[in-house]
Amino acid sequence: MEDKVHGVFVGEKVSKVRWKPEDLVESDIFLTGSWDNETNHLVLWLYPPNEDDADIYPCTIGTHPYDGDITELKFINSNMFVVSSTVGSVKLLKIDGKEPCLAALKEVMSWDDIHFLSVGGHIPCTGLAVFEEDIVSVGEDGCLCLLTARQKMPVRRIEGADSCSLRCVCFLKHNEVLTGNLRGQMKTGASCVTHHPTQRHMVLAGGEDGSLTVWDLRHHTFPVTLLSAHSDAVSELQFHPDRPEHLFTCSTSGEIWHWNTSSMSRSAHLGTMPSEFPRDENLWLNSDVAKHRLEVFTLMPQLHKPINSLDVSKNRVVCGCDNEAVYVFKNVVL
Amino acid sequence: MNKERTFVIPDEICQRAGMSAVWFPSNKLGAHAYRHVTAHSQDKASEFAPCKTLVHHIRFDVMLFHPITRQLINESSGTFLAGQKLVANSGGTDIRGELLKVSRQYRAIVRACLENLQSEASKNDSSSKEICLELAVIFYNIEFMWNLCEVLYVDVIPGDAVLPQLMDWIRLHSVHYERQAQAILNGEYGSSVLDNGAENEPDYWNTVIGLVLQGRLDGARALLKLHSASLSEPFKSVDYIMRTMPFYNVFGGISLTEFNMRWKGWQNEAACKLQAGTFASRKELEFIMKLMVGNAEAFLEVKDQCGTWYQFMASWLLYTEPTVKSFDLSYHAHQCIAKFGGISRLKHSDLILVALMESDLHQVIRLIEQTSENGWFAAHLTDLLHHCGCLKILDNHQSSQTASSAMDLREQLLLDYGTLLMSHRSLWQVGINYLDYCSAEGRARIEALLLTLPLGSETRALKIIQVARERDLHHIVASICKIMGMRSYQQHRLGNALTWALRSQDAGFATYLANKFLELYNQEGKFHSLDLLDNLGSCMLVSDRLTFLGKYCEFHQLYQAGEFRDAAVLLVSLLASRLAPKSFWMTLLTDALPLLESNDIVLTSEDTYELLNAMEELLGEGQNSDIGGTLGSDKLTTIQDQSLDANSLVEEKVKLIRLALARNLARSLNHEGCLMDSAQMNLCLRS
Repeated sequence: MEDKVHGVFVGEKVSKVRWKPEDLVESDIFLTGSWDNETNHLVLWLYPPNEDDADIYPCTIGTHPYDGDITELKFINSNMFVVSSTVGSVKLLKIDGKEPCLAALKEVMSWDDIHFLSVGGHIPCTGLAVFEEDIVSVGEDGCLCLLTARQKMPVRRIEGADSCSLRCVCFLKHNEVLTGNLRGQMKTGASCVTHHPTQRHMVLAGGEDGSLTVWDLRHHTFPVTLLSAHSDAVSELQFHPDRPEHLFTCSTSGEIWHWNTSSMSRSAHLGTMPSEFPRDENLWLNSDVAKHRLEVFTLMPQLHKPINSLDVSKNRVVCGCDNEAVYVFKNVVL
Repeated sequence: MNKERTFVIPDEICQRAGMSAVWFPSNKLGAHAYRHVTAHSQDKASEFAPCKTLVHHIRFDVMLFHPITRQLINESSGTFLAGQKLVANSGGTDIRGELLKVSRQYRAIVRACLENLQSEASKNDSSSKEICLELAVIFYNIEFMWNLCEVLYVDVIPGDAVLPQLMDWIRLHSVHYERQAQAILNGEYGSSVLDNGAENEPDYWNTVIGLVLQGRLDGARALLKLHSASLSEPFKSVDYIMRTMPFYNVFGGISLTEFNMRWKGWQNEAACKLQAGTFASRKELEFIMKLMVGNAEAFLEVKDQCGTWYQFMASWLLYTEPTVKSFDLSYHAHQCIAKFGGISRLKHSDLILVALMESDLHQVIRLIEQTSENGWFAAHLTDLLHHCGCLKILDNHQSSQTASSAMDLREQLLLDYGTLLMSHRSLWQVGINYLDYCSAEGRARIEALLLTLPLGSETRALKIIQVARERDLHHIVASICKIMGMRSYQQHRLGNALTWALRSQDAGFATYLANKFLELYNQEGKFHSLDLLDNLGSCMLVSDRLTFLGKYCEFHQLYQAGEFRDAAVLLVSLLASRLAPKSFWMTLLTDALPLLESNDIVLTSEDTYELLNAMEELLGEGQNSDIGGTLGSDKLTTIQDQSLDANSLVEEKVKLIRLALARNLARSLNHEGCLMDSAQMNLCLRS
């Protein structure tokens, strides 16, 4: 286990971490955003996927100071990413420089004060979702703002989208967006939400009590399954983009888990006619999931501080925590 | 220690008028301009106004919060927690081995920090070069002292023969001679008779002696082999003696007494050879041999080469008493210190070393507290020693103090350190971890300090709430929710405010907000935050007013969905159960109008009686109560405020409602009468 995990201290509490997407190869650069400091930083890290040398740790290749706590980071393409923060602004930045040792983060565009209060003052922007070049941002003021990477002015602003603060958002289709708010549709708030990569009508939400709920948007009202998972709020959940039978979740109780449903798909296939069975039938909607026939692995022993964010790329997972460190897991078994 | 320091605040007004300061949470001062007013001052307008005044926030500069040492804070907190868990799970079994690992981990963390500090200080453009160097010196000393402490107190050495470990300690921290030796060895010296012998190196003999003093005999032998005369008799003898010197090894399998015998035998043999004059031809070799047989005068000559008293002591013991026990160290230490100028010339860190050797842990901790890294060293070391059971020795010596003095000391240090961390904007989470393990006062401190944390964004507030909840501090959770709720309220975001009220199940606040919602409805005719109110679910039961609000929204939902019968039933129940506030009854009765007037009979006679009852009760109290006025206020609005138009409007409404009620009563009684008749007729027919 030890040679598969590399931890490095960042010096600031990490709120979000994201792999820089590369087209074909495994990405070796990831970006961290911090929070709760007087000045926060965006830091770019290099972690080459070198199999031989087990002792290489991630190292910094570029930093950029930022105003306010960083609440969300998303990459639009392999060089540009958007950042949202608690001063109610969203910025688009670009990663410059191809040398492996040095890179600069340059601000390309900035949408300031898109979340604000009627009485004046900033309000935090809490979530972002991107779809190609469209960006949707949601904030504590309950507004939804639609931005395009090319334009300075927000395209649309939906006020009063929710009477409470919105906390998370994701794109379902190009013109549909799902948001979760402080109260959520259920008694417990949804703290994060993600959709299945191939079946967009299936949405997974992580709750503040650590439960995982599966919603099928074709039938709106009730969740399909409810799994009580972590002992405390789920801070982020992500499907593996290429292998959707793997899900990763991390929580504020310091746990990071890998959910593997691939064994279930094998057993499901054995008992049916191969031609007729729809291959994409989603196992999460299957009631067997609730009957504990799901394999869950923990990627590392429980931390004493919350894990705020995680990201997956090929077979590596990176996570950022409130003990001011990031950990990278290599060779996650898929 | 008690120097006074003056800091100048750059403020013009303060300079002219005077200054005052006030403490506020987490060790900060707020300084501002102030002109003292007494009973004899003239009562006039201030001569300084109008002017721009500032409040200056002053806080202690905590060196430990430097970005590089922050990593140390985080990593060591992880180790601290691991240590506490270890102790908690041990159940009384001996965990010294595990505690040793914890100690080593702490030292590794300090060394890593040291490396970072040194590499940062070596960069030319570093802005914090001085601070890094200062911190590097401090942490180097810390690791040095911790190592000795570990050897003497944490590690359990069989037979208490501490010298091998002491030698390791010295060797780890003075690598000068080894480096020099390496340089010489890497040079090109053969052992030929030509003028190419290594002894031409200027520091050759110094290095050899240095290596011998540190017990690095292999290195010394290697260097001697490079001497041009290394094949001659004296050299061979020295080589033999060095090769055969016994070193004590705990796992060697021989007892201390036997080792002593062998060692004495070896030394005697060497002394004989020395006396026989084997080395007379080579002055330097003779000197080395004198050292190795423990000749006091020879040692006095190398005093300067040893550098410090403890190196001297270790070397001396190596060649005179290799099985020295830990409790004898203090005697030897004082002897060596005397040779180096006495106690008065000792530095602060040396005093700590002496105290360690004297087993005066109380003094050790007292001295450590004076080092300037803000208590990190003292807190962690004391905690470790406490768990090793070493601090209990204190209690036996101090008869006047209670048995828990050791625990108090540890707790005091942890409290101080934890509180210091809580004053940092971001490291408060780490601070809480430390305060958790202070059994006497920790919880109270956490309670007090959590409330002083600035709340910031909702994410941060939620994190603070989570921490409070984990420790069952429900009143703090309630308090924070109320603050966040009021903040939302002031930002005119009622829905969000209600969410916060519900989160902490705060009945009072929820009632207050529900009243505000109803007021707004009265003013604007529609609901705010309908999406929230529609989905309250069982949360609405927190407060009566909120339940009413929720049910009222449900009424509107049903009405719009066309479920008139259900809507009517709900409406009547709201009035009948007196759940609705009096001030809202008029609105409810007005809402009942369309239901009364509808073509189908939606309200039964029973329902109509209820409504009539309510109407009479409302009117009976007189129209000077707050019909159409403000909700939730017990003040009576005066009639003069209302214009004649308003009054007549109310009268109109009352008339309409009365009429509708009467008509519905008639209809429903009729309808029910028919039903009753037909039922009775059926009965008659059958019987």
